[in-house]
Amino acid sequence: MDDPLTWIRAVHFAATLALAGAAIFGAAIAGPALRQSPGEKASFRFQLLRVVWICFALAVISGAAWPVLLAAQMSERAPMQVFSDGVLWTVLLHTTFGHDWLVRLVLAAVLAAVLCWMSPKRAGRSRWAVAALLAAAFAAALVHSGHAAATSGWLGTFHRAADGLHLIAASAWLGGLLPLALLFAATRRGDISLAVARDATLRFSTLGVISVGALLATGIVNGWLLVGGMPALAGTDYGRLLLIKLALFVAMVVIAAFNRLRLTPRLVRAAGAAIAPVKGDGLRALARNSMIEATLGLAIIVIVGALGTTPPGSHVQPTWPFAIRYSDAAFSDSELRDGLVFALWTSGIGVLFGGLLMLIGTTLRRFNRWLVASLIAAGGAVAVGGVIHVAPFLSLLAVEAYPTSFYASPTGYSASSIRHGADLFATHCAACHGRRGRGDGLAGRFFRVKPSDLTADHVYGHTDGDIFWWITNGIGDVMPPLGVALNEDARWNVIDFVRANADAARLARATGEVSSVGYRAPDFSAVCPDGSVLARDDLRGRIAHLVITGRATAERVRQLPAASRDLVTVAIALEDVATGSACRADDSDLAEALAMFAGKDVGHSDGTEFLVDASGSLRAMWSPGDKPDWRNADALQRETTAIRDLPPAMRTRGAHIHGR
Amino acid sequence: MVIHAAIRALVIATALAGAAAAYAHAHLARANPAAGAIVTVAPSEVTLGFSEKLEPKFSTVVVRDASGKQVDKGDSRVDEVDPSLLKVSLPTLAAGRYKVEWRVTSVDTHSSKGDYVFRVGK
Repeated sequence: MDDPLTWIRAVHFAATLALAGAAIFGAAIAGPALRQSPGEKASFRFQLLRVVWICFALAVISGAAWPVLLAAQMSERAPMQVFSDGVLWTVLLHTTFGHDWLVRLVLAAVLAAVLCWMSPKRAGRSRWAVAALLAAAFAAALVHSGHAAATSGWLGTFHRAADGLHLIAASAWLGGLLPLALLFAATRRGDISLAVARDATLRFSTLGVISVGALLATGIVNGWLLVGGMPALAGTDYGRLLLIKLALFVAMVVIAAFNRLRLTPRLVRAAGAAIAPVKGDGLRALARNSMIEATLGLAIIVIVGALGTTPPGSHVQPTWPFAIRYSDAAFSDSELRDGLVFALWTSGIGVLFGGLLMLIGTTLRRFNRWLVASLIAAGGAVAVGGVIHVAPFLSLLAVEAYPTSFYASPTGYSASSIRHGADLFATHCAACHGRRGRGDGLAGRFFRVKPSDLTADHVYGHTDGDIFWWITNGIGDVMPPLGVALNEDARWNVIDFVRANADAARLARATGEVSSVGYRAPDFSAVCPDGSVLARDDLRGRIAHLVITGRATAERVRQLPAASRDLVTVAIALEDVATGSACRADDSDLAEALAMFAGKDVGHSDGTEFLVDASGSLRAMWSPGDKPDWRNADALQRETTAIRDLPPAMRTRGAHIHGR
Repeated sequence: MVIHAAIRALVIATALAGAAAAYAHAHLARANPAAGAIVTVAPSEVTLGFSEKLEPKFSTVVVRDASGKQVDKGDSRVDEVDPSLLKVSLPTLAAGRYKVEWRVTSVDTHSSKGDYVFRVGK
């Protein structure tokens, strides 16, 4: 909040939405409502036009300050310097944001011309309509100033369309509240008749309902694309700001619903009964509520200003605020699973059946009161019984959680991280957990509670963040905290090693065959002869054939086919050897990490081969001498076909949360 | 099993939403040479792949040797075909430790920077 850009954004958003809202109000609400009584005084139209002009001026001033502050931020200069250094012009002429701003500048100029052409003395409905369209476009074009600008592809187009609609809907509702309050004030002064006020209120009410629907739908799209799931919503600044925004929105909707369902009917009755304002017409309450809503709306816009400068998701580690989290580990246990699935089914059917009974009961109200009461009671009992029945099983779906449970590892599971982790593990962990993490370390033998076997299935039930917490803080008096001995990076390195070590033990059992479980490959980055770069997470639908290449294997690699549409060969060179048309990953950490997956020392890994599926998971491993012989092109072809033909359920990588 | 599948789908949907969070504020998604890598053959170019499209005028990368001297050819550029790639050419590097420093602005106007180290030779 100490960033001046946050406040400039807020002012610009508020002014732009109010501008568009007032113009839409003039075109869609005030215009048609006033048309029915041409004799009204022009004072309200004058006020409305004045609001439009003030908002326009504010939008132009804040809109001019925005690129200056932004240019300063982008170039790390003082705001005054961006003029003399020409950075401001570079921003305006050579960036996506700048192009958008120039388009908005043109829109603003045309809008100003139209506004000059409008007079409060005449209705000029078509001019108001043109002004409303221009102002709405001016508001919707703001999408390129926020996070939506960066979403790419068709998803980006969808995201920006949703965001634009969100802005227009927000304008129509939030921006219309101030003109609405002015209209109520004018009615109370007697400038406008009750009939006009009633008509305007009903129109605004319809517009409001449409806007709230559009805001909800587009807001869900935005939230889905930017927030990053429950942990981010509950555990990051961005998520919490969004929750506050949502709470304010709900408060606004509640007030709006009260206006619509309680106050508007009063106004309609009063307008039907009398010409002059009378007591009990609800105008005062309506005007007050509109101002309260507008204030809440302003608070929302301040939050929007902050949201745009707050990094959502990836850069921020979410701090999980609860002591438990959801886990589907119970489904992996055959004994627990049967009971759990049965419980979920029976309770689901129970709730459904109970609900149905109650529904039948309420529709039968006319027939027999006693029958109805018993039906509703029986239905309720069945539903409550179903929930009580499942409650003990539901606890199986929750496991202990820690503030760091949803921390994401920043390492990208890189080969160097795994190798560093192996060294650190040997120094800090192997004494108890054993060199290969099997819980058989020398020191561990004397403990009452045996050190955990870090290659066992339970490891897959814990998130990286859970393990991070245990390494940092220890586990009771069973495991000492290592938060001082290992810095954060080192802890993540150790976790990567633990993952790789557990996966390696499993991959080894599937020698020469395609594994139905995918084991995340260490990250690799290879350069291909055509200059393109290939990475684990960027295989573009191809299977990668990784070959650890020393002198003994270089000849084989040179004879492997050049990259095809389906398969790409990557040589991990152990020394400076020619590898023909294969892509190259000259990274000794990668060679060491892969050798670890093969259970070998890197010195003996020459000729070890791996197949990595398109999603970046290790699927098969082969060493010279293994059957089937991958040097036979047909055998290799059968392996890649088997990977491609894996059932869809097995195509996803065996995620760390749920490995088996 | 249907319920299991439904819950699984929910978890996957949540995870997907998490993946989508990576869209805002460009961060380094992949690099060649990779961060922390020990390369056996000196690379002719450093290529950084970011999570978002970059603004070419406000995105640069430099490579420095252990003494802090800039060693790249000074032609830092955003790839024209794929604007999420930032590249710089290198002369033939001697064995040693090199630091890659990048500072980028993504098309949603957010700036970020970072650095990493790679080594040439054993």
